[in-house]
Amino acid sequence: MIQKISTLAVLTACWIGAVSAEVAVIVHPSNQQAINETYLKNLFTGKQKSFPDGSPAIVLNLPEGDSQQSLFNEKALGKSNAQLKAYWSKVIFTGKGTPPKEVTAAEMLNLVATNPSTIGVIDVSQADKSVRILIQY
Amino acid sequence: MNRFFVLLLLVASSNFYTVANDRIQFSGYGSVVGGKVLSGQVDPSGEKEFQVDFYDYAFYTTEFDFEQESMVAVQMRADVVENLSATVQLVAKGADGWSPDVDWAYLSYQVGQNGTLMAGRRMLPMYYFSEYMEVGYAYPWIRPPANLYWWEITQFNGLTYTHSFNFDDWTLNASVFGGRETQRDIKSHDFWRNRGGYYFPPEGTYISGTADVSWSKILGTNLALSNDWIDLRASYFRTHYNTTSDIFFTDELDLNNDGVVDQVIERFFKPDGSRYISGDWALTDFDLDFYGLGGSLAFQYVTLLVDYNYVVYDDGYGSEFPTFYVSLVYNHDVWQPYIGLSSAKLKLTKDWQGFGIGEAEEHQIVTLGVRYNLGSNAAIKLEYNDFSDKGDRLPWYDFSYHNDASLLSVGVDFVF
Repeated sequence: MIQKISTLAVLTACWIGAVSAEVAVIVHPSNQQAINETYLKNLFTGKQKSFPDGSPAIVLNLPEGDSQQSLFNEKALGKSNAQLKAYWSKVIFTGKGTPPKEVTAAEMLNLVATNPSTIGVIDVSQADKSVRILIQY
Repeated sequence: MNRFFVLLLLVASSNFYTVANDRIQFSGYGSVVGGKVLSGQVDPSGEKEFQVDFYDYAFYTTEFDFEQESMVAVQMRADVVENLSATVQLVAKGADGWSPDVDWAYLSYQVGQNGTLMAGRRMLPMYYFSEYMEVGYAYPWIRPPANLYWWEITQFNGLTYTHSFNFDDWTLNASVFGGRETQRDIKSHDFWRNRGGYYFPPEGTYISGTADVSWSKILGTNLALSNDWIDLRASYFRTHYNTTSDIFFTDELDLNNDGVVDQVIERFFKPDGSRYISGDWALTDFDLDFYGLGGSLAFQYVTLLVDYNYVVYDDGYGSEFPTFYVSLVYNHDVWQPYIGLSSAKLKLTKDWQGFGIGEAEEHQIVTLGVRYNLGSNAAIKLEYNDFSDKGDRLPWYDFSYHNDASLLSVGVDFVF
């Protein structure tokens, strides 16, 4: 019984953790495509350059070191900032691609709200109705 | 050394961190590495040496030295017109007297969503780490294993076409490349010449100074398959490998017939005034085939890195070089301790003028080290390498750089 209670407690903690997500992945409201987590990972690591419908994707990040961006890197990409930087160093200096452009939170909201090609991350509390929340961590 | 600091100062003062504008981007990387041979066998030069870079002729002795592998590179990428960009990389190395070289210069054209055509000067994609072997920040160790990454040619001028395919959570990058490359006055050949000879010219002929190496008719392909934890890469290319060197003949004159040489005349030029050049024979002019299979597997805490390669020369000896590398890296949040083993062998498969066949040499490097990430732009590394000569069996000779040696190095790698 004690074991069951503690299992329940762990589950509850997980559930609370999920609800108190802090970072959201946002797209333009007209973009109603379903994007799974693997696809998202490929978009943010430059392996995938377009949305599932084939239209080109412009990926945006918050400035390096931003706590929301770091959380996204950790949760969605499974990489620490240093690991991600090492990954991009390899890509940049072999001419295989460029990392997502970095913009401020205000620019992020404005760009994603106005350009249907964009996808970015933002603090969930800052995501208003001008954008569509795809997933949150 | 002054030039290094000037370059660093330039980098620090010119705000390279920021994107100058949307059309031009500056970035760069560098390493400050110092090392010292701890123990080993004395080479014919009278020193205990550990060779770390054959291309730039970098090696450590028992004296602590931090110019052998320290380097800084600045990359500029500019969007020329839509879908066309230009990339230039300037690299200055301590081993090269800090004189900046254009290591990379190419145009990149985006073909549709998934294709890229690159024209110009780039790294030659040989080993798993070849394309970014100088970007220390991008891998755990201080350097990729020196007994594998030993070629004089690391870049080429030519064309590369890459196409990427996505299916489910897998990405396949397929590329074909072709071109050529020549390196002149290679110091490592002088190094070998001074320490027991590199190849064996006819008696009375001496190789003078350095050598020129060219790899022509390079043609190859790379297939890279990855998902979020596996990254595999197969590589193949063929090239025509030619080494030439200025040589001279000596005439020993016994003027008074007393059996003692009185005068030695060195003849550098043929009667028609052109130089004597060595290189047009089966040991220095042949085809090379390179086969490689490598990859990384990222588990929850541990990353496994492997690379297996086979190089075949169509030379007089029928030389074959099986090499492999395996490394395990533990990924703590900021600490990455690692171990590695690299092994290289030379097998002679054809009997050249009675020289015999069989395994001619074999050497291994065992590596232990740790990387510590200082924020997300720099990492400090401490590494120990043990080079062991597993024997230079007959019919080969004992090359000096194959002697046993252990090396301790410390370095800081950074990106900006």
